[in-house]
Amino acid sequence: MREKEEILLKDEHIEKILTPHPLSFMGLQSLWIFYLLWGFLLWWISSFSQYAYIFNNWLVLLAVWWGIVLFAGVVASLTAIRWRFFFMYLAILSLGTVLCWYFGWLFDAGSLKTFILLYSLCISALIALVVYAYVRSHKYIITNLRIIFKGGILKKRERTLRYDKVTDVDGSQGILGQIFDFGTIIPITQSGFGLGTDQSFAAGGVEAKGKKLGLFGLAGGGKEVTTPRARSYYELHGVYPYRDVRRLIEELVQGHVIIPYQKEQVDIQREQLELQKEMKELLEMQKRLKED
Amino acid sequence: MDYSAVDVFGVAPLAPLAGILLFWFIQLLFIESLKYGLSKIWENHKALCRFSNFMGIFFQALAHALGYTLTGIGVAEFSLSVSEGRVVPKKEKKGFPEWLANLFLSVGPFFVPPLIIFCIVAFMPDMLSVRPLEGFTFSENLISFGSLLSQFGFKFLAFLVNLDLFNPFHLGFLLLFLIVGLGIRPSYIGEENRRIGMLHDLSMIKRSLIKHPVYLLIGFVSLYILSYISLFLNIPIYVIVLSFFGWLSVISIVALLFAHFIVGLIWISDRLPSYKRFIPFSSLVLFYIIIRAVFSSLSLPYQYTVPLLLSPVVSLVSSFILLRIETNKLKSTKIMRQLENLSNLEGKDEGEGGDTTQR
Repeated sequence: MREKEEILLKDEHIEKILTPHPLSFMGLQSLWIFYLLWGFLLWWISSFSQYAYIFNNWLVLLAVWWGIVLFAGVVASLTAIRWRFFFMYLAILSLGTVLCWYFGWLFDAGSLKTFILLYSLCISALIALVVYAYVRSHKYIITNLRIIFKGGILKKRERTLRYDKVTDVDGSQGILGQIFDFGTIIPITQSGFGLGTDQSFAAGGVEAKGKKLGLFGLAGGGKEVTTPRARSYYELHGVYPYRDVRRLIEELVQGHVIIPYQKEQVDIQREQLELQKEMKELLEMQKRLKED
Repeated sequence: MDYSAVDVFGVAPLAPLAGILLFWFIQLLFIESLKYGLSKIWENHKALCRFSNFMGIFFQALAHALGYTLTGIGVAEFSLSVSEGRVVPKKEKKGFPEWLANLFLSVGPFFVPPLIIFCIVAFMPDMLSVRPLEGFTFSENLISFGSLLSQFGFKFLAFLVNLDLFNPFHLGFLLLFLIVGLGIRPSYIGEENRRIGMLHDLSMIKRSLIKHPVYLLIGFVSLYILSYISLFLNIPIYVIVLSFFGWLSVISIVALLFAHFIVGLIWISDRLPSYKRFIPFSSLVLFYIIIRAVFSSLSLPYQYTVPLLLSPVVSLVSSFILLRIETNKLKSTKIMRQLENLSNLEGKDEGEGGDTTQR
């Protein structure tokens, strides 16, 4: 409460305090969900399925465990364009293998499959906790004057956005968002904050080598599209209930737009001008009547 | 045996069609009933209802896209949301392809979701080895259709009751089965302006059928030709082909029943106070694990079937008993009965007083 009072300016009051919906970070959540499911599935396949005999060899079990997790890491990294997921899975697998070797369970398939199950449970619980902490670290304070974006587990980030600086409000809802009624709202400023770019590049090469002549040609082209995009700390990421929050933001932005006020002034001036004209005409009429 | 020519050549080909219609109507009734069930839990489970609606829209759009693809029209745009689906044709085609694509749109959603289940089930050994009966007349064809349906139905049910929920793949199949049950048709619950029910579906089908009576006639003639070929070659291909739609209806009906069970448990859970609301589902899981563990450890026969059938029954019965105890608690207490009597007496007095004033 005291923290809230400290951040508030004069005549400022809080409209809403929001945190992202846990399912809005489904990309991150899927990291631990996959790891847990795969650990359980591998344990079940190697222990109870009709293919269990294949996994009686520890090397096969280890290879399958590594192979699928690394493949998922590559897929996750390519999807998110962040290689940190691949390296995270690599580190987890390496740590698991070293632990297994250290305690002497590596060369026994029976111990290895139990270890994989328990290790998957522990690691996925750990990742889930980190993801939860990351989600909870986001805080969006909507006041009558501005939006305060706060976040960060170790490094604290904060951004303040005044409504009069917002030129555009972008909103998006995925399928999960539509089902659970959450969505992401990106306020875009005049300076272009809240905008990102989608880039694509295509290239092709031709090489022809004769006995003496070598030829190499390369042709390429790129495309760039500006699109609303911001880090989850700098947007209203996965806020619930989406429609209500969006309406609130739109109303607050509308309330701070200067144009309606100016328009009102112009209308008043126009009315005054017309009144003056009428008065002038009346005076002229009066003057003519006197002269007659 | 003497056969009437009218029966063999005129009426007999209609028998499997009548069978399909019957099962499809049953399917429609179950869909309506599920929509009603979903509307009862909408307030507390909007996400589940929206998910069910989304799956319905997804299957509908899939059927629509399939119709456009198979008729050679092609799909230019395919987009989905929780409240609507959009399938834009690539090229404008009038006549038969358009009629067929529209028929896919109106009838397809009832058969596309169970087709997914059928594609999985078809890989099970012995599932499709059915023996059709020989049929020449309407009644024989109807019996043949019914026989094919019952053969497949029993095998399918045997497959379902032998699912081992300790097997992650079987559990995944059951979840998919539930999703199919929940999403055979979009419910549009919560969207006041889009109440699409059974009558809307029927009128849409009627409209698309009678729009071009010539095409409908062509369809019937094709079916008759197929039945005659089947008759002269003495291969019951006609009944088998039409039975396939009956099989899909059977799958749908079972999936809808399963969805009804889950929605029913949710409905009961909502009516129970505090922690007791978790009892219906937790008891379902718990009973299954206990019964399954007992049967496995004692190596008893039907170790998959008995837990699978017994746990829902036990869970449902115990939930109903609990619901009855919880919701009827006040009615049975002595003080409440006395209060009720008192309020009745007061009500009578007030009524009489009111009359006097009026007079």
